[in-house]
Amino acid sequence: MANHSVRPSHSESHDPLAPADALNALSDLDRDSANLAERVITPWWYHAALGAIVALTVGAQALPQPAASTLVVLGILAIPLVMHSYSRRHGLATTQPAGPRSRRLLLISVGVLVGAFIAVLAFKLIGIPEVWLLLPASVAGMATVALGRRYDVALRQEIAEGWRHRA
Amino acid sequence: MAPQGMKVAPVFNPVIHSPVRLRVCALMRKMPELEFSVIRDTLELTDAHLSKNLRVLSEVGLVTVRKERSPSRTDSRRLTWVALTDEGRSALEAHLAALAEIAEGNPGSA
Repeated sequence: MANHSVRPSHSESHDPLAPADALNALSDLDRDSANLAERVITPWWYHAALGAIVALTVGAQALPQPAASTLVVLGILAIPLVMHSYSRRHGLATTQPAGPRSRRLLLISVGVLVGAFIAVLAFKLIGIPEVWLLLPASVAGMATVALGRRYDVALRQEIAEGWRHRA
Repeated sequence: MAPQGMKVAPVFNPVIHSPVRLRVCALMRKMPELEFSVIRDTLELTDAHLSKNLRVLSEVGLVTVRKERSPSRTDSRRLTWVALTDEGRSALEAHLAALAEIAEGNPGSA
């Protein structure tokens, strides 16, 4: 691999980089970041699909075995499939947070999902009628849609912040 | 990548500093992967210009390029996904820090 870590390109011409040139280069990056952020808009079906899959996966616990386990496995497979499908269609992956706000929202979403599964297990252990399992399922589904949309907004803002802010 | 809030040592990188390569790397800074056409369209580059610069970045290990069959194309064309390597991310952060220093009138990094 080439050593590319220390020598400045302009040293070849012995011209130091002027502050104005550096500033211009950084301004270009800000503009590019803003342009990219405009592309990070998930279609209406994306979070709806994720929310429906999450709700079905959590709510499936109300069904007898083996249907419950089968639906959980299908749900776990379907979520990355939906994400991958979006990435391939739009040419960008939105699963990695771009900053602290999107990271926090992603963690909250995962927390809600885990909480819903724990609630379902608790309901079953206590012996609450299975129809009540629809409650955590609905909450998880709606939270996935709401948090997903907020995640998109945060991701867009953090990408648009440009070079000054690290992911 | 350095943790949030930790200061990155400014190091000017001659490979990254080419205008197109800097813009390509910076575009991928907050994204895990970007498809070739998204980079091309966002930066308003030609296919050839972007390909040439990606080849340079790839040869020195700053980016990875992978091909994937396209779901929307019936011909043999494929999607080309580009991502910064760990080394590329570190080099980019150091280079941006160097540019920021120069922009502030401190040429010590260049």
